Amino acid sequence: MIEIAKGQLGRKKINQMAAIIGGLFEIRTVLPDGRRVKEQKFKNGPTTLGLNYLLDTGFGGGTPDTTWFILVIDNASYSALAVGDTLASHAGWLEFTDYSGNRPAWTPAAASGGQITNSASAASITMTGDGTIRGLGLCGVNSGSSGVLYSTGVLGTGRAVSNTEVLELVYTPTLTPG
Amino acid sequence: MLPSDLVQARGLYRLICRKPGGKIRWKAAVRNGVTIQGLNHLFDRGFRGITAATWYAGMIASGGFTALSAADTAASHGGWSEYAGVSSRPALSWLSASGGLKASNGSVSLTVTGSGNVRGCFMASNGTVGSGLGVLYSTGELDDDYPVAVSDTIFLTYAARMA
Repeated sequence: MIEIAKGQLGRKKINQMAAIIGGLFEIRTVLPDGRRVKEQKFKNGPTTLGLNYLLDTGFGGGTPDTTWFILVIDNASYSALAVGDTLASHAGWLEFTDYSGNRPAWTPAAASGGQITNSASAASITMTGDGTIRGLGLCGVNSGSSGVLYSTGVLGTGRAVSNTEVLELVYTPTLTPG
Repeated sequence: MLPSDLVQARGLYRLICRKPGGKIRWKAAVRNGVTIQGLNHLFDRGFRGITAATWYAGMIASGGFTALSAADTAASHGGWSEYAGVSSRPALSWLSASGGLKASNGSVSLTVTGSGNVRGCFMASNGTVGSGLGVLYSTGELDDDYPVAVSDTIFLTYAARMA
């Protein structure tokens, strides 16, 4: 049997790169005739709470939320997103709520190729007033602030919306092997 | 700190092989590569609530080893085979995640039942040595072939970080 010399102990090799956690939000405008006239895509950033959630549910010790919802970030009072944001505390932004109903459900298909998306069944909201939105987020409750805020993302500038306008919202988190 | 759109998911295996008397035969730290099958499981568990997995540690044999691949699955991994000379795949238990770090709660141990050489380790959702069932979450390659002998014990810990 070969003995590994003491001087060789603790050898390490970086043989594989880290996986990249990314993701895209997408806003589609739906005209009354059903046509989609504008698509805006922007990157997401997971919160620390969201990453902890993914680790706890994936490895053990965490109970998963089986329903997820998309929230809309208001342009008014927006200053910044933060990794420490939670649903209960996000000093740099307010939620935009001038649309009918609660936060729309995000219903993804099974994950494939390291991504999971609701692209085939986009969430939809109908505006109930004029305003300007700045971004989107993914959270574990359809109203209130008691659930997990997994991620947020914002447009470069605010996007005006008008009463009765219909938006479709798509979110695709990705995990890409390095 | 602003949220990043490119968060990295890393993992680290730490291995110590001890002889029957407790003396260290070798030790190593190995950064892992998470498989696509493992990444899909994370999303499906977290966002769709599929059944939770118990994760078990196994060893990769030196014999026939060519490469690891992100496309490896528990059922199919053409570049390596499992080192069968251990008594079991032990189940890992976990500390709660904090700050994007999820670590095993102490180490698990694999008792060597057949002498030979190992080349790496892995984590899968089935606890039977040699099984191709379940999900292969990650694999890690040692920098060389490392010898193990009957009655050695391999202690293994794992920590995943997303930041």
